[in-house]
Amino acid sequence: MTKDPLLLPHWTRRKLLSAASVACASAAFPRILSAAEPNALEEPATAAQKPFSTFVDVSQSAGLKAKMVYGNPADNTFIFEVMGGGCAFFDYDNDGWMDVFVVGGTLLHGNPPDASNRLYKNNRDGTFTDVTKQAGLWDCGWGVGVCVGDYNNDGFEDLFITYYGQNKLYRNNGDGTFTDVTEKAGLIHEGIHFGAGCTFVDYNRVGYLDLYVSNYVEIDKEHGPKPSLEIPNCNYKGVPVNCGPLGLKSYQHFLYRNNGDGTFTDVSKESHVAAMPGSYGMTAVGYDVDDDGWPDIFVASDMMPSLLLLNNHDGTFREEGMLRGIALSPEGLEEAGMGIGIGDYDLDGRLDILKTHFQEQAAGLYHNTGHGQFEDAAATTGIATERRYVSWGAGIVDLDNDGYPDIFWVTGNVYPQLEHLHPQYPYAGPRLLYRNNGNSTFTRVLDGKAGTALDEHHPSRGCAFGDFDNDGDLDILIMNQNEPPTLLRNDAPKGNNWIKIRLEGTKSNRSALGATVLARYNGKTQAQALLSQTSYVSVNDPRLHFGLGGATSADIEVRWPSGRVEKYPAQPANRLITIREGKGVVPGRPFAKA
Amino acid sequence: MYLGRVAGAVALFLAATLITHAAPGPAATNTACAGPPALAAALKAHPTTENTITQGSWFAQHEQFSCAAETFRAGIKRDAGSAQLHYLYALALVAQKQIPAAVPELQKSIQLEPNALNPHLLMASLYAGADKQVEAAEEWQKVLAIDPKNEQALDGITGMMIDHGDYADVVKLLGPNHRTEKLAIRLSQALALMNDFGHAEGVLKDGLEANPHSVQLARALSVILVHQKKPDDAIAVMLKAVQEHPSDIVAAVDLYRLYILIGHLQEAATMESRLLAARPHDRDVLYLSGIIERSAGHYEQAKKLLEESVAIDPEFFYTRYNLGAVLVILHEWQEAKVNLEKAIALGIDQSEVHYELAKALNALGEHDRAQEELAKYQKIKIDSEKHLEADVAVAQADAALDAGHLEEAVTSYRQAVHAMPDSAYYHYKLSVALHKHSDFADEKTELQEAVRLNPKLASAQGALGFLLSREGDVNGSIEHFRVAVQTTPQWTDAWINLAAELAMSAQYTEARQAIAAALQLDPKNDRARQLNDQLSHDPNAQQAHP
Repeated sequence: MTKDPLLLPHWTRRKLLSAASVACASAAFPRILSAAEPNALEEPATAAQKPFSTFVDVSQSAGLKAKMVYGNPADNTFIFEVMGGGCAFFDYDNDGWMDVFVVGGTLLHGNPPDASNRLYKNNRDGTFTDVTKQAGLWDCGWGVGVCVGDYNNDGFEDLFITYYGQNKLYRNNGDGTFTDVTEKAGLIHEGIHFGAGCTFVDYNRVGYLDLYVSNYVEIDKEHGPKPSLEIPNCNYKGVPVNCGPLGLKSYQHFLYRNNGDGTFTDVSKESHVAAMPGSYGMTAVGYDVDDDGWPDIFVASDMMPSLLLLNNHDGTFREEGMLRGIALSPEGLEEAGMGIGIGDYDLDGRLDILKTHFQEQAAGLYHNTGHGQFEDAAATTGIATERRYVSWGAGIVDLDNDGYPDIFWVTGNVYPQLEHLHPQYPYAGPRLLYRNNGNSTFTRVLDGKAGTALDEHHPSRGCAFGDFDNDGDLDILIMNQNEPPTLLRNDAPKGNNWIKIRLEGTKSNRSALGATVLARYNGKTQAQALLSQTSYVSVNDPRLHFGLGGATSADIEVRWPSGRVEKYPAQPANRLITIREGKGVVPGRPFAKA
Repeated sequence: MYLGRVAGAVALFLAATLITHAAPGPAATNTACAGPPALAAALKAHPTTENTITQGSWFAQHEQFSCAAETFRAGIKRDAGSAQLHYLYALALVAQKQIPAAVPELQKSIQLEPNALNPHLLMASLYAGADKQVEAAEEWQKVLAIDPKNEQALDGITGMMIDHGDYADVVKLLGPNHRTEKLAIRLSQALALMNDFGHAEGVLKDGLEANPHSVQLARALSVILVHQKKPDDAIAVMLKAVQEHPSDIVAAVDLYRLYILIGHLQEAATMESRLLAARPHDRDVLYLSGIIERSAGHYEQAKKLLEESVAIDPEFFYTRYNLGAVLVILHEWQEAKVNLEKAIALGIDQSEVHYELAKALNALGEHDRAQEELAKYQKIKIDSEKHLEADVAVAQADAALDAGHLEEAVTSYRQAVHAMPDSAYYHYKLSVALHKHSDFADEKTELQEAVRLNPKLASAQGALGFLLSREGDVNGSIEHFRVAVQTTPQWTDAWINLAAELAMSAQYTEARQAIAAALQLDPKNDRARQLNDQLSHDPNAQQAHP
């Protein structure tokens, strides 16, 4: 019994102290500007002196004009109205030019006639043609993510799309069309799932791509909680908003084994995936995280520990995200993991991880210290100071070809109602670009120095990096909710060299997904992984792009998903080379500039 | 708590001395108690009660409590009929922690002057300190019978109500009353505990309007605003308080804490040096500053500050945890382990401490233990998720119940119970919806589960008693009503129900006691009076009357 006349202040104080402890240990906390912390807004002279890329929004002129319907942009009700969607650069017709796929949604009350996912064929002249209907991909639903892989090893990339509803597998028929083979492939699931992340990954190394699917939350739109000040987690900063994910049930994730005959078997249970802690799963990436030659899976999780599924080499996985330092903030707090970028920002030959988070949380940049151990270097690299925006699609990509991978991510709020009361949290957000200073720190590129398109605000989600015009640099495709997608053409500075690597598996899966490529140049080693999904539920150009700076050649090492390692020394710069597993460099698809 | 009561009593004592005229220089009554010669001379010349009080009060004001006690005791010998002397003597004894000796003096004072407030208040305070809640409540009720707006009594009795979870009763009691600063805070606390943060905010804002410079009200309001996820408003309130009271370091520390809580670390950092200079040995200032330094990446400085805070209060688990976390960053694994284990032993309820400990253990090669800590972390998280899931379901159910959608409410309450099967309160809430749905069998099951999980959940005990009564199970009903009044002595209806059931089973003596308790709580209660009349006129009850 307490009879202290100052009961409330004491109660208050305890609560405050408790909360303070949490808040102070929060992911956001160490990211706040401080004297000790490198601040990417302060531009070092060295970075400022060198020219950087300029990005030009060519969406309209390129023909990417269809608005991506996605929920009510003014006053949404459910969380599934705000989570999609991803986008992809992929060459569906094998003509050597990156086509574009964008995942769309619908509206809560009725399907607008123009609501669908979209496939745009690259016309090889800087423009695209919407071929969604002729390709058989017209579909209206709550699409979320996309992953690409040649699951039947026929040489044509197939599509898997996650939905709030029923996920779908589209087989590429090789003639410019796709067929929904979800049922035939055995991928129909019971009831409504909120599929989010997905990745094709040959987890058992038999040469066929298996499929991992992460689920977000369980929500029933008939009976689910709605925005309310009375219901926990249905309001934010005093504003009723869509509920969740906290307070909603998480759902298990799934692993489907490819039977090699066009069908899949749910092996979630025997692989131990089903028994792992539930999480609000988002983007999933599949590659060899711990350098043991077997593909692992990393899943960004929203407000729960992110999951690192390490391959036990026997058809099972174990989850070690927390022990490896990539599940939580350095202080042990959950972060709202959305997007994942995989790359080697410090050129030590190891794949680091960028993970984007919610507003008031800094992005995580997990430095790979070897053997699958990570330490969050966001604060020391200087990217932690920006935390105003909900952040999504992201990449560790060398945009200016100087040989040092930069960092880019897109933003957009999930609560359109918020900005009316709190203008500091705008619904539409900018694109954030951090230039690699070459010394394990980054400088934010601001004030139109990389083109005004980056400063424009959009409610963005997925983004993908790829060279749509085959001019030797990485362009950026962005999915914006209720707007057409953005295509940012990269006009990289002259004088820097580059090399692109395209892989074709033979013993490995045909797409070579999960392969790691090391490029050695200028005394540095840069690692990249070939991923079925990355960024925010999106897909990058499968031609791995290495900026080389002044180097005119690079030594290439390929670590195939089969475990085979091949080395290709002194590959000349400024070209695409195609490497077939066990066969070496082979003539590939055409690579001609638009 | 006991010492708190004594300290409170001393404060009361000092306050009481101000009632008497503070004449300078009272004389001591013996050589060991040397007071001002003038007072001693006056008392010697005129050993009146008034001079005794003046002399004794001087000693009390100068914290010479034994001298004060001796003075008052001597005065009582001369004037045994002075209620005030007995009261002041009791106060002096309380100040010396001689509680058992003080009680009879207080009783005597009350006997001599039943309408004097202070003896009742002190007696209530002593009872409360001794955890005699019923007796304390009786004393406060006596005060309120004399002075219905007495702040101390209202504060005391509402504090007890809050301890018992009788938040609605607090609102009922304080709602219509003119509210002082302290009572406004109390009312807002009760409202907040009922999750009615909107009204709590209104009460405090009204309070601040009436007392615009009150730091206490500002503090309380800032807390409510934080709960309402209006952190910027909370900061604005505390910032204003601090600007109005620049010398109030406590308020400044509150603002500092708030800045850190909200994540406005730049603003907090601007206060750090000033607060460290003003309060170099303040546990909280050192702790909060340690957090600031850690956030700035000044890990060694953070370690130093947190170590100093730990040295001041080794039992404060948040400092232990934060120190441990900093030591993990510094790779000082063994010391990190020690501090994190200590934080856990002290009862910290944050899951992150297990994560940090797992990191330290892993680095020390204690992999199995690291896995154990991770498992604990995960269990806490899962429990927390379940809790939140249940809270959401209950909020939905409450809304459905309010809207009259009974089936939807039952479904949602069932979801909550499924998510948190060990929550007695949620079983009880489900039972309420089932009752409205006329599903009495399931209602009974849920109530039985509720009281099994928490026998002190008076509302469930009362409802089960009521249900059993309807079923004709008088003994069962009595059993549950008894528990209800034991756990919530202020619950008038439970006393009435108990009395009725006792009368039904011809236990008239106890029935009369129960109805008397009800009438004492609410003398105008129609049902209680009606039952009392029935008992008075029932020949069987009269026969049983001793």
